[in-house]
Amino acid sequence: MIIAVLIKHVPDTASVLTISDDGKSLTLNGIKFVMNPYDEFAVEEAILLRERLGGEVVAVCAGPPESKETIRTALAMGVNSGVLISGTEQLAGRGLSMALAAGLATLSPDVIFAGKQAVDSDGSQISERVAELMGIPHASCITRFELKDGKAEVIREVEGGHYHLSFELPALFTTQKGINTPRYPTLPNIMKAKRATIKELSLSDLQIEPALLESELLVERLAPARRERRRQLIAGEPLAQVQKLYRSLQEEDKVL
Amino acid sequence: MLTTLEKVLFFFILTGSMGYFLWRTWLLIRLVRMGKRDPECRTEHLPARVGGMLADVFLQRRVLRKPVTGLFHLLIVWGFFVFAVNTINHFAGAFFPGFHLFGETALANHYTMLADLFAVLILAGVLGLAIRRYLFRPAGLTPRSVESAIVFFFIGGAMAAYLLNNAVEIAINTHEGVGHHIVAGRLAALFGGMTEIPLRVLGHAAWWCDAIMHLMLIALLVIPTKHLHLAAGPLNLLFKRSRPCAQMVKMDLEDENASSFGVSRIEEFSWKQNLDLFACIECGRCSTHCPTAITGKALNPKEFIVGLKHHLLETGPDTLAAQGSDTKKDGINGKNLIGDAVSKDAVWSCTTCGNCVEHCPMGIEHIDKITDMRAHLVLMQSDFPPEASGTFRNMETAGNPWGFAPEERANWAEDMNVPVMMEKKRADILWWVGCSGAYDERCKKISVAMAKILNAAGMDFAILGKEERCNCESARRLGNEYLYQTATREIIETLNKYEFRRILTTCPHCYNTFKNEYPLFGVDYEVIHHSEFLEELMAAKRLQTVPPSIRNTTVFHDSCYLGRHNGIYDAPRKVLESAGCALVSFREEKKGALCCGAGGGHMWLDEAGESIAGHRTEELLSSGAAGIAAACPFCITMLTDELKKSGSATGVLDIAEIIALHITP
Amino acid sequence: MSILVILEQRGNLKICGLEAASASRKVAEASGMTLNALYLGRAFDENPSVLAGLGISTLYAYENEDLHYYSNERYVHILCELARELEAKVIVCPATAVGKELCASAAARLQIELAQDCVALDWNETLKAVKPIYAGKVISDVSFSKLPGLVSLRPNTAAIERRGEDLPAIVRRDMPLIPARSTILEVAEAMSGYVDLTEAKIIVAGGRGIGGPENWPVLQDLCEALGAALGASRAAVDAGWIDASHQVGQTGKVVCPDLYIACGISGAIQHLAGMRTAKIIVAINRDPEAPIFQFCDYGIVGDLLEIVPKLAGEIRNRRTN
Repeated sequence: MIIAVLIKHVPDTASVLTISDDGKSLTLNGIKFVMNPYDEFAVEEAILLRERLGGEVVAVCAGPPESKETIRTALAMGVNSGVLISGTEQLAGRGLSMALAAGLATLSPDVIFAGKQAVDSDGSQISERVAELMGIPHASCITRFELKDGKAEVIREVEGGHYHLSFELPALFTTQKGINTPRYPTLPNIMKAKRATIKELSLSDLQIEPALLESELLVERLAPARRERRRQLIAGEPLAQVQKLYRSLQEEDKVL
Repeated sequence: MLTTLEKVLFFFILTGSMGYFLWRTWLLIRLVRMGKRDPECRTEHLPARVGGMLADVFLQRRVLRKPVTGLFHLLIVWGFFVFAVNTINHFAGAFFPGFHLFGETALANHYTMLADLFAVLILAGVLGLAIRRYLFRPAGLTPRSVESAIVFFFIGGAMAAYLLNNAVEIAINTHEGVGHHIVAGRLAALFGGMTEIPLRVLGHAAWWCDAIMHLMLIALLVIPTKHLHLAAGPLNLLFKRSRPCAQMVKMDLEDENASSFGVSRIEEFSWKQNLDLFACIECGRCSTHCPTAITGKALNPKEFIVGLKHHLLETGPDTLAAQGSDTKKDGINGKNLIGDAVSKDAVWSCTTCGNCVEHCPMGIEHIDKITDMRAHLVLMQSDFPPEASGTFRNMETAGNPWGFAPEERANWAEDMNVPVMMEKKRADILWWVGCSGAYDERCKKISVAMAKILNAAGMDFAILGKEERCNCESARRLGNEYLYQTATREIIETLNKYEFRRILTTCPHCYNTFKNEYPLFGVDYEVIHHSEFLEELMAAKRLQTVPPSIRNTTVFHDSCYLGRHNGIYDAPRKVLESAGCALVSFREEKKGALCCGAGGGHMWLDEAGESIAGHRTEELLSSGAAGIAAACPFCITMLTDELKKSGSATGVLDIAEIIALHITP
Repeated sequence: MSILVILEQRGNLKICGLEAASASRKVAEASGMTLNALYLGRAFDENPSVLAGLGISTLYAYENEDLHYYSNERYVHILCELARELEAKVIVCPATAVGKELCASAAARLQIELAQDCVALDWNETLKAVKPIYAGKVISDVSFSKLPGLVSLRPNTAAIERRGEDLPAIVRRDMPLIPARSTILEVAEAMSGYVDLTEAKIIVAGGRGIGGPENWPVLQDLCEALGAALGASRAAVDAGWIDASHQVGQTGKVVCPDLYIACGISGAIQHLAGMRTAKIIVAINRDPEAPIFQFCDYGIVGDLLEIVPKLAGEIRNRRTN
């Protein structure tokens, strides 16, 4: 059984990000990069599946050469091999998913896991698009996975509840936090991962015309969201206090 | 005096016993040497080591820490040496009647008097210790120990047999030099009324009693019982640790030949760690001072060491036999080191406070065994308390245990005159602020105070600011050697960019690792803790302070990594006194101070059962002082939480905060 | 040229769909396109006044019992067919769990770009959108260089705007459904009153300041009013007032809600480590010196036993009106 995992090399969420002078991109020098946290659950689920039913886990990542660090993290957790699809830095959802789908097709996976969203783009679309392009069924935000009699049974989250679904394979699933506890890499695996060779596939290897992938969604401008905590003390009588609080939360912050 | 039959019998018994003794001794030696090379050269400064050992043995320095008990034990120890001569005389005398090592000199006579005297003293010693053990039942001693009873029996028995033997011989009037048997001679009168034949029979019986008792004592050494400490103890003290107490071994993680890191099997300990196990006398001083044992957690240091000892004895011989062949069964006899010999919970409970090592009379090093096992669990199996996982990740990616933005590390110093190395490039003092001092609201106040002091004293200093990252000292104590070494390399690279004379830190854990552990990574920084630094400043009168109007009674909480591990007890006290505090002394201070519970990585773990910090807070409050002072952000955090929980009005302040309160603006 | 907005249903039409319709109307008016809506589910028998004044020209209702519960393949098929039929240049969908998934699949099938989880839509010669990225730390203004384009709109970011009483025309379609390669075994609603902590959008947490376990009902009432999960600080767990599964913090759960209301929690660093990424933090504590006030967006110094019930009451009042 071939189990593929889609992973992404993203900036650590703790980092403070600065917007470049052109106002359209971020200065990422000196920022610590990690594996997308949601992808850790996907990697763990893939390894758990292999431990239960055998097979091979391949981590697939599209990104700049530094992304190999994230592939090594996956190897350190215990995946069998890794593939880097290069030349995808400028692509958005449409093009990126086409490149990934082409890369995955070379592996003919039976099950594909991915994290429910990448914490940089917060898009939640690449993996689902990949499944669609590959013509396989999929479900997002799964909190449980089980392979029974060649079918995948999953529980997927929706607001206010969940769906219990059964899928024919091959299929793709994106993992929600809490589906498992990602293992901490052991030292022997870390060392092995450092020495491992990672296969690289370029767009031409995948026989894709780069022009076809060009992004049609342009970033016009980036602006920092309010970062500092307001530290606004609400004074007054209790009733007035809660009324003011409610108004702020509802109208200004829109969190209610 | 013995019949030929007796001589022949004794010959076989003696050679049999000696054979058994040599065979067992050889096994015990092989079990010790089954261990790996020890990271420390234990034969360095040999003359000093021998001198120290002899002092420990003959002056009973460590045992006399408990004066009365120590005295009883001292009688037995000295008696043992005195009686060595007698034992030789006795055994040789089976074949060469009247044999005496000192011949027929006056020395022999003096010796006889001494031996008689010591027979009584030893008996007194045994009686005293037995009463203490079985009647008073002090904490730490194994209740109703059968092993101890057996040893008492044979020591006491041997002495009684000696006296009886000599008394009967005198009574039979076949003993020369009778006048010098000051005790046995008097006892001889008891047998005055006996006729010859019964007396002779008694004489032989007494001789055999004496011989067998002594042989048993020798056998008890190598069975072994804890009596083995006679040999293992002095050896262990000879080879005792001379490198810093809280210096962990630097593992070679790049070693491609290493099949495993840390310790998961008994044969992975070093020979010294094995010797420790044989030196243990099960006195329980480690446990009675251990913060986890006191609060009823899974770790009891004495049970831990004894558990390891039994494991070595049980599985060691099979392991020795299997060596050479390629069979390496996981857990010989189905017994694993971690899990069966000692529990995983026990391994994780330790706060590395060092009270066990401090109080152990035999020089046993408990902490290293625990951290070695933790290293295996973390590095090889990723098997550690799950709540540490997030902390490890945060340390790795964000450079601090809580996952705050590394870019915000110097925010505490905003609007303050705190230079940053990136701009300044060189300074006399590189002030390592530490994670707590940078991110924790309570501990930021300590940093602010320290900055105020440094500026008031006109010091040339700078901080690393955003370039500072957690040194992962606590991760190392939890067994994550890989994370620690990665952080160390990064930090050394950063430090190498700048010129500074010394590193100042407000945290004993940072202090300990920079001072004692970084040299193993090839750097040699001068490191000073802020207690020593403030003492310097006060002594050099670089600070203008105003004495307080009220002298508050203050009790100082000795942090483990400042006091026990690095011997700094006086500097913070001097600092407090110079700030006008009326220092209160109490029993559980300095070397014997109880841990706050945060060491050994426990700041990041959940605590089950009774709170160690709560226990310590009670102790500090019972001193009667109006305020508590400390010099460690971990301690201050733990104590502050406890004081708040108990609703106490007493507060905790760092010594820097106390000084800063009194600086003239 | 038209805009197609997808109205999500759960038996009845969900608010987020109506919000999406209002946001789409703005784009329709600026671009001069017609606004149509898509409904998939059981027979649409809701009072049509729910769609009054939203500016929707035609509602296409695909009615089938098997469409009541979301089925990715079937929904995508219908959506793409209709989008092609109507020559939709802009497709808008609420950014719910199923909505986002639906959008991604449809975008791939239609081979168009998708701006996911936007907070605002606009039109200026082409479709423009505003979306947060990097866990909300950066706001990105994007525009579509080619249309059609797909956007999903985050719930509760657009206001429902009604002008007049005009109702859309309703075209009901009952077309045969394509076979799906997945089967629904069971659909479950969350247990009433229970929201899981880990991915909860709103969390109300209690610490030592609540005084005792007998006061949890005060917080639980607020949870119910908000649809929030209940959390706790380590102090409360250590005191035995609540089970450790509710613990938020360095050694408990790390949460990332939109709103975190900390009641009687001092704000020790270990607790902050578990909730520091919350979008908005509200602190209610009796102690004005509590560290949490350095770390919150809104702070109320006061007795939480008085404040919290009043807050719950205010929320309920506003919601029913």
